[in-house]
Amino acid sequence: MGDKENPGGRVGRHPVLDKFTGGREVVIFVDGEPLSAREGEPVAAALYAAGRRVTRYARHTGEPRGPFCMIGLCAECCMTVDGVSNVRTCRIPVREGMRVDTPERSSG
Amino acid sequence: MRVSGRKEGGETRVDPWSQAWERAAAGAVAVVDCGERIPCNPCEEACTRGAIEVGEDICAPPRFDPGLCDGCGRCVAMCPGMAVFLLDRSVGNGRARVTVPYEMGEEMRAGREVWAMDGEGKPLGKARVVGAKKRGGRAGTTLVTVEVDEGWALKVRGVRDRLITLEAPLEAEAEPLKEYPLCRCEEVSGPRVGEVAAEFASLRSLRRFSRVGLGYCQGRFCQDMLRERLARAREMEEGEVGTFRVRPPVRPVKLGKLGGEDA
Repeated sequence: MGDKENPGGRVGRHPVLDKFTGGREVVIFVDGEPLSAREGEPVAAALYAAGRRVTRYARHTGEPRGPFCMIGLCAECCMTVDGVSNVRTCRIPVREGMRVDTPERSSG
Repeated sequence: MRVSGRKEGGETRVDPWSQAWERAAAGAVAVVDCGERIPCNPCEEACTRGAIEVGEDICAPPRFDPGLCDGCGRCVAMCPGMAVFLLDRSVGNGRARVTVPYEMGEEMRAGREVWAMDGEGKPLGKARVVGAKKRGGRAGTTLVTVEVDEGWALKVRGVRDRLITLEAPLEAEAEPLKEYPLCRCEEVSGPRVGEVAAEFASLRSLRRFSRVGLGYCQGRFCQDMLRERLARAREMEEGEVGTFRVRPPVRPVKLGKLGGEDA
């Protein structure tokens, strides 16, 4: 997936931001499954690059929700990270071996 | 020709827009079209000739003095809001050259035909690029100079790749959504807010009733949309419906952390 400008489904050449230089390739665990990610990129970006769009399910309606604002405001990308609930994955940098889990669905 | 300038509250000095227009007859001069009260002053920093001044109050819109400007274009590249452009009427024949910042992926070079766009993103007409250069400031900003009819020289605020605009309509006709989340945390839909908004005279009472803005984000995301919606439903000014009370901290913090828990 991806090409020189979009390495691994990431934005490599952004018109305004600096060039994406990567970061060490590390493994994180998403719902127990190993996933290759770049160290230092937002967890949401790693999930997005891997084709995963759903981060949580709405409490009342049970609808799937995914990262929406990407700047830490909307709370749609909240997941359980290393056992801590309600972590905004768009604001959390990838660390090697981190565990990212879909929050438990509740009936509200 | 008459120049549509900006009125500056009660000041009698020459309108900088008219001054820039006159001066542009001899060559490029910067025009600052910034009325935003935002804490921002890279334009002032960029200018080596002191032609742009923000002053003590960093939120004040910049004042510019076309008499001091040498048309270097640094401020055009530096302004994060793309609110500065260069005007050059020295070409004559009822034509003018306008230099605007361009930050999209397509490469701009002389000879290319583009759309000249106004400040609202509407196309004014076709224009030919007569110059393009990468300029300092932020990475990737190109200063694109287009030649246009003098009559709309002051309206051009940007350019758009012509191919893209021709292939895709500028704005797709969208059907109004029937159901969509407005308060995402508490899962209150836009139509639901529309149903009840008119019953409440303030944003806070709407919140207490419908739970909008009481979730994880505490209204950081939805407050502006709610205010606009409520003001429209009540036919009030947005300022009149109030705001949620802002309580520290600004960012979400776990209660455990406040209680002294590590990590």
